[in-house]
Amino acid sequence: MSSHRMRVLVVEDEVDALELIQWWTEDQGWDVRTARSGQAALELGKSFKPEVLITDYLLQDDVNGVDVIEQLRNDDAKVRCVLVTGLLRNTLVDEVRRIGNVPILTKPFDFRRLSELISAS
Amino acid sequence: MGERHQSVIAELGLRALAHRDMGAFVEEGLGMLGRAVQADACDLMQLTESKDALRSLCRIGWKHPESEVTEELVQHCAAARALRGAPALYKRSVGGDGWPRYLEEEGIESGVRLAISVRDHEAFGLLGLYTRSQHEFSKRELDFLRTGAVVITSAIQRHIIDEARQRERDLAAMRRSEEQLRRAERLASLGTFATGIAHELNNPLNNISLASDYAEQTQNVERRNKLLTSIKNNAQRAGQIVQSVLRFARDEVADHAAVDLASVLRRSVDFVRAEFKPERLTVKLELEETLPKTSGNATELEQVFVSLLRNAAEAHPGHCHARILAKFAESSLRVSVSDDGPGIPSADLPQVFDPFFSTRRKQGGTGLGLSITHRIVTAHGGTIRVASAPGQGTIVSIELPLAAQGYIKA
Repeated sequence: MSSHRMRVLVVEDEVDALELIQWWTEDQGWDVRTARSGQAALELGKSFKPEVLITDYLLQDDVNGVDVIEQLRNDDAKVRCVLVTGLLRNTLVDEVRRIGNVPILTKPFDFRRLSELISAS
Repeated sequence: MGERHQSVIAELGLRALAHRDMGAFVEEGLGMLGRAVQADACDLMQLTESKDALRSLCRIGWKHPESEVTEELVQHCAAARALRGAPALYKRSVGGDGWPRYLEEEGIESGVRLAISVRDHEAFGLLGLYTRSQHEFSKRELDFLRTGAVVITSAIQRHIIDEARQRERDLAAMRRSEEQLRRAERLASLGTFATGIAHELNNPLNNISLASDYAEQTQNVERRNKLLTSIKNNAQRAGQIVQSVLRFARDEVADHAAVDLASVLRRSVDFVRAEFKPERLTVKLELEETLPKTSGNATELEQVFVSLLRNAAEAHPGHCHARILAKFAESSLRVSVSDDGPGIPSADLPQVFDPFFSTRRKQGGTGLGLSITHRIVTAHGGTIRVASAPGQGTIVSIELPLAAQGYIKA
């Protein structure tokens, strides 16, 4: 009987960061999918049904990280989310507060911090 | 001076100290003086700024009190003499030189006018008291009026000084608030700028942080080597951002001289030809035979055209065809750099010169290229315009002054 592999969706438009987070999450034995834009994340989210979402706030298209979290939570309220941002502004804090509790990870970060926030999410 | 007159002066003095409104005090004071000498009408005439006429400031007891009266001053007329010193007495029966018409029209029979001076005896105007019946102003009355005029004068003087001080205070307060506003604006733009830099630097720093963290943990040599390269590249990217910021922050140009635009353009084109493969970028350079010189810094102008060509190539998904056209027209040098790229959405056009505005952020654009270009062209006394539409390509038009017209420092 194969143990359950946690489904993780990583959304990041910085290629280097995306690849590294993918490597690290795969190293944890998780089932990982990646998206580089908000729109792609929304589409992938529907079919992949992730249990954990790690998303950057600023993405290439009009769909930002908060939108992705909101949409995925709509489909599945239990999805655990971590929001990554390069710049933590008050307006972003307000936006996050609006959609409920989401741990915010500010760049630059390391994997220990990411791991902590996934556990806390 | 009689007792009654003395008490009027005392009362006048008290009011002069207590008044809040200068106009109301002058009117009150004038009325008190007038009543004390049983005058039917009184007025205060102020010298106009040009000092060649008097204009009524306050009038009591006139048939047409609202109407403003202006009286021209003739050098040797009684009014002019009164302004210089002794009270001028008026009697209709005697007549006199240059007594104003409005006294005649008001049916004035007798009158006296006393000079009011402020600030080191500078003439301010005339205090006038008039009767419609014949009246002989006694020496006592004249002494009283002279003293009353002094009280009113000193009140006016104080008022003028207070007003000037208030104006100075207002002006100082205005300067202070302007300074505060400028400071706030500077801080705001500095804030935006700092935010932009922070944001730009955060991505490569984050890549370095994650890569080094991962490299420490992994046993995979291939990945570790790849990460070392990635760390190096990201450090370089961060360094480039810092360089761009420094270039942007530097607001003066080291040296300038007459610049041959044709060679600047040729060098710029050579530069980008070395940077981009021929299948990515072709540049057609069309120069007018004899281009006059502009003045400025050749290296900086080169930076302008290299930056524009680089923008064109990087924004193009395939093979970019760029064209530079330089000509002399209407006493300035005109250079247009056009391309057949994807163009710029009209919503983005107003922002293209803003620092940190970039549509190619993900491809490593810092958003400083065009704002530096704008700064350099403006510093050269020139103008830069961008015309573009999605799918229509982009034309950047630059106009530079001729060498003789000088060079404007940023």
